[in-house]
Amino acid sequence: MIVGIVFLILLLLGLPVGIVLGISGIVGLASIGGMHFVELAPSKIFNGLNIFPFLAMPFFILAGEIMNHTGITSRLVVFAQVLVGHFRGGLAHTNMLSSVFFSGITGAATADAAAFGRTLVPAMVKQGYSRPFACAVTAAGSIIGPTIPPSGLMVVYGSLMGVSIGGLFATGVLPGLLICIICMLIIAGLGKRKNLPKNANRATLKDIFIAFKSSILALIMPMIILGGILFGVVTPTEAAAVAVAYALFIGTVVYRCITWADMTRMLIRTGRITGVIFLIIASASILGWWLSFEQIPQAIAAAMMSISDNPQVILLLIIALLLIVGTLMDITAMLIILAPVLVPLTEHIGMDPLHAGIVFVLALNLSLMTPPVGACLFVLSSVTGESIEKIAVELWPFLIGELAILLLIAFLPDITLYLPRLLGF
Amino acid sequence: MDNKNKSNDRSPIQQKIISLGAMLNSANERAIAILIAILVLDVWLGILARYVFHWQIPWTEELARYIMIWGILLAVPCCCYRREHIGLTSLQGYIPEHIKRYLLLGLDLLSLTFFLTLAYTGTAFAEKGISQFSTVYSMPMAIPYAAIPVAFLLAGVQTCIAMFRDFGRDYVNEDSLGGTDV
Repeated sequence: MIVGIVFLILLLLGLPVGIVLGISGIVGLASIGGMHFVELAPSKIFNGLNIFPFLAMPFFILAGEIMNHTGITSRLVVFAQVLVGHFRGGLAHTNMLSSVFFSGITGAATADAAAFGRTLVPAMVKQGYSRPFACAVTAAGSIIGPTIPPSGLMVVYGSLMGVSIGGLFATGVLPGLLICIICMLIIAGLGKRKNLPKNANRATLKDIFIAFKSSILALIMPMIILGGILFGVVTPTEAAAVAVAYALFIGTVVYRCITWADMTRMLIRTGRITGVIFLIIASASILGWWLSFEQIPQAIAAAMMSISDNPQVILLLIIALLLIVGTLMDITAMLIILAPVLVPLTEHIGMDPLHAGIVFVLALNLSLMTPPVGACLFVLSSVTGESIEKIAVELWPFLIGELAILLLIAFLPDITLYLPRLLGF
Repeated sequence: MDNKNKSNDRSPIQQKIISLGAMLNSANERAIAILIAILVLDVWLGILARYVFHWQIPWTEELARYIMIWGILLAVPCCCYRREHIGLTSLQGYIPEHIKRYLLLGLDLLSLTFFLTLAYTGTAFAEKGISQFSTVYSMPMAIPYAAIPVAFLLAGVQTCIAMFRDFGRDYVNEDSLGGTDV
C-alpha cells in the first residue's frame, strides 16, 4: 500500500520516472526487512542490466544517429512524397509512409515524433493543415517505428520473457503496415470534410525512380537487419552491430560527411538516450523484485481469473489493463513490471508467445500517444508549441483506428503469426 | 549549455560549482564515447571471429556486457546534469511559480538521496565482488560491479550541481535528445 502511494505521489509531482520507480522499489525493500533488504538493490540493478541482447538497443540507436547525420533520412521523406504526395492530404499521407520507411532505421516513436515535428509539421502547416491535425498525424504515425522492427521494446520483451527477438521482429512487420494503412484510410476519409490540401502534380515514373535511387541506401538497412536475423544468420545484437558498420560505411565512404567530432557527439548521444532507458530498467528491476517477493503478480492474475475464465475476456482485460496503466506510466517500466504478471496469464489462456508479445508491444506503443501522459504527445507539444489538449482532440480518429488494429491482431492471431510461421519461428 | 542569461545573478561560488559541473560532465561524456566505441569494436571483433575467421574468442560477449553496463550507467549522471531523465511534469504547470521552485528543489533532494543510497549500498556490493570471478576469463566481479557505486555517486554529484545551478528554476537543455521511448 505504502509503495503504491509513494509511487503515485512522486510520479504526479514530476520526479523522473526512473527515480520514482527506484525510490518506490527501495521503500518496498525496506518495508520487507529494513536496511538489510535495501542492500539487495544494487544486485537487482546489475542483474537487470546484465543481459546480452540489451546491447542491440544502443547499437540500433547509434545506427539511427549516424543515418540521420548523413541526411539520408530526409531522402526517405522525398521518396514517400513522390509515391503518395499527389493524393488529397498528400503531406499527411507522406508523413505516414515516411514513418514506415523510418521505422527500419530509428525504431523509436518519440525520435520519429521529434524529427517529423521539426520538419513535416511546419511543412504541413505552411500548406494549410491545422497545426493540431498535423501533430495528430505525426503522433499516430510515430508508433509505427517501434512496431515495425527493429524495436527496442521488442528487444527488452524478448530478453526478459525468453521469447525469440527475431520472431518478435517478424511478428511486428504486418501490424506496423496495417497501422499505416488504417491511418492513411482515416486521412483519406477526413480529406474532404477537413478540406485537406491537394497537390495537383502526380510524380512521373522517372521522379519515382530518381527518389528511389537516392534513398536506396537507407532502404537497404532494415533489410540487412531483418534479413540477417530472420534467416538465422546473425543474432539481433550482431545484426545491430552490422547496422552500425553499414551506417558508418555510408557516412564515411559514400557521403564522407562524418568527422571525429561528429562521431564522438553521436556516441555520447547514444549513451545518453540509452542511459535514460537503462535507469528506468535498473529501477524497475528493484520494484519488480519487490512485487514478485510480495506475490503481487499472482494476486493480480488471480483477481483477473476470478472475473472470468473465458480466454477472450481475459485477453480483453489484459489489453484494457495495459492501455489504462499506459495512460500514466512509461512503457519500458510497464513492460518490466507488468510482463511477469500478465505473460503467464497469456500462457494460461493458450496464446502463442509471439502473439502475446506483439499484443503487449502494440498496446504499450499505443499508450505512447494516449493522453494525458503520452510521451509522443509531450514531444510533439514541446517541439511544435501546440497544446496537448488540441492535439488529443484531432488524434481520436487515429487512436480508434489503431485500437481496432490492436483488437484485430489480438483476436485473429493467424494474421500476425503468418510471417513468423513462414520464416520458421 | 547553461542558462547563460541567468549567469549574472549567480554568486561566485555558484559560478564555480557550475563550471566544475560542466568540466565533470565533459570528462564523463568523453568516457562514455570511449566506452561505447570499445563496445562496438568488441562486438565487431566477435562477429568477425565467428563468421569470417572462425576463431574461438569466448570473451567478447562477456566483455561487451560489462562495458555496456559501465558505459550506459555512466550516462546516467550526464542525463542528471542535463535534466534528461523524463518525468510527468505536466501537473507542475498548474503550481504557482514560487511554490514550484521549492517543489523542484525538494525533488532534487529526493533524487540526490536515491542516488547516494545506491552509491552507498553499491560500494558494499562491489566489495563482495572482489572474491567472485567472471565465468569466462576470471576477472574479479568487483570491476563490473563497481559501475554501480561510481555511476550513482557521480549521478548524485551532478544532481547536486544541477540543483545549485538551477535552484528550482527550469533548465533549458540546448542539446536535447529529441525524445526517447519512455
